[in-house]
Amino acid sequence: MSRSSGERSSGETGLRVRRVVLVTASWGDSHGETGAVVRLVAGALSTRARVEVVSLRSSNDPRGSSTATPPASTRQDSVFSLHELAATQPERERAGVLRAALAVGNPSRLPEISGPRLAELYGGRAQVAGELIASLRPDAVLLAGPETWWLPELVRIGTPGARIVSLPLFGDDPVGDLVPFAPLVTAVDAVGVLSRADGVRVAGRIRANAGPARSAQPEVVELEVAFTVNRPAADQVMVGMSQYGRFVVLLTGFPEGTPGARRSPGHDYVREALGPVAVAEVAHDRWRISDLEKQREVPVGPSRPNLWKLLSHAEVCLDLRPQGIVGRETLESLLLGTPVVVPEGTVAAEHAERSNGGLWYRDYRELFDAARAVVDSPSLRAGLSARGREWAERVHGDHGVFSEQVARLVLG
Amino acid sequence: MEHLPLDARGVVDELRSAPRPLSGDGPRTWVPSASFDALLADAEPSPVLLNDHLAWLHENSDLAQVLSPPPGNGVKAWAKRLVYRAVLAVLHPYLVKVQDCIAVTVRAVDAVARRVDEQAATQMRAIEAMRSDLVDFAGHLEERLDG
Repeated sequence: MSRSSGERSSGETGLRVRRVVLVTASWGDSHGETGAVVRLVAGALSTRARVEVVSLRSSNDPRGSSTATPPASTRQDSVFSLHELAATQPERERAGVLRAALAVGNPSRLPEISGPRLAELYGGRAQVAGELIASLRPDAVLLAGPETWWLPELVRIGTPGARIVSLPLFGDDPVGDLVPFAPLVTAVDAVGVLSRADGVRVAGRIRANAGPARSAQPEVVELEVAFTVNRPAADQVMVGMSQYGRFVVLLTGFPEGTPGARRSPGHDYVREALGPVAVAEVAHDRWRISDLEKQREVPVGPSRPNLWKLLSHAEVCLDLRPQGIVGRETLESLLLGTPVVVPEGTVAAEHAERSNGGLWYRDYRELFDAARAVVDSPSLRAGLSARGREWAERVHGDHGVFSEQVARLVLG
Repeated sequence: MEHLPLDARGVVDELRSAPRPLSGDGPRTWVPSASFDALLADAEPSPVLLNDHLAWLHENSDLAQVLSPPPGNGVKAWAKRLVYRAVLAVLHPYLVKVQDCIAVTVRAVDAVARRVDEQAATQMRAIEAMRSDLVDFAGHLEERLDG
């Protein structure tokens, strides 16, 4: 691959600094886990390559037309060059309706067109995106998120020789089983996954879609995202919490803006079920704590450092939320030495099982059984805490290892 | 569960295989807050309308007996009736007004007491209905949990 311009060399070693284009529609998202994971991946890459971010942002035009395409605006965001491309116009609303229909329906009985149509709605087919990526002359292109599902073939044509990598970021979302995999199999060199279950699922679908024309299938690389918790800050007791003694954390909504619990049994119900232990509920911007005698709003902002303070002193963290792509709060709880009880079949449950740092439930009866077992047994709690913390620090606490994994995925 | 867990899956399997009581610990014992019982138990049982002070007021609010002419014969009784006529000639409009005010006041207190009694009865019925609904709701939740 020869390049006459756009190349840089590190002065002392003479090695060319490789250029990676990261394409995503989640850049800067503060809600959910996707934005945080994409930024962590970009940060890990920035130590080994020059990272250019192409941000696909939704515009107000619901038709998704690419005829009146405004030029991309470019600015510096920290160490990243950020190209904001408003023309892509993923049709989030209509995609959301179809996605919900697919999620509740039986995938095996849905028409085959459903998946490709969903991918189109997510992405919108704007030629300008491919042109912009090609103009950046990348050594590697990382397509992060379902909004980029339609891009691999386009990028392959526009940037011959570049390594093309996909990071689907579907997590345990059943819609991941519906989107077409053919573009990945034919145009992508590697696929990154954030959990073992997702890795098995992606590898299976790649094998199923591999035709005779392509002998080399894309490599599947598992990323173990590294998170940091501020332990000195977390060790501080939150204002007003000391009067409640032992307490459990009930996660029904965090961070702000994420969907709430699917079926919450209610704060009072959990408190009654667990007996003589207080319940501190984190529900978006409303945090409250109660025991059998008193109840009050926790007078703090719904910030992550404050969540760490709660988790750090809790007996157990009960998670009632729909789970995200990486189980961030579960990992943070394990890093702080607090056992978790999480929904079965999620990335968070995979963390709990792999670490032996938590339990999982199928329904609320099992949730209460598991929570009571942890609350009532100091030895079980201590065992889960020690094992969970050791595993989380070893697997998800080392940014160097995560950086190596990202480099292997993206740079080969 | 007093052993250190060797693996979380083992703990989950152990919890799942444990026999579930049909009734007993956990959510099955959940009932609406005890404050409902306290509310019902501490409620004042007797109506305000039967209050002793109100009953006395009813018995003594009529001044007709007090304002009748002094009975008896003789010079002393004649003198009393003379003073009575003289006083009443001046104070009669005032005393009639006082009598009317007392009667209206008693009727007003009666009305307020009746309204308070109605409100208290309604509130008690509402609390009992709410408690009953919450018990039904808890039963419904437990059926769903079992289902």
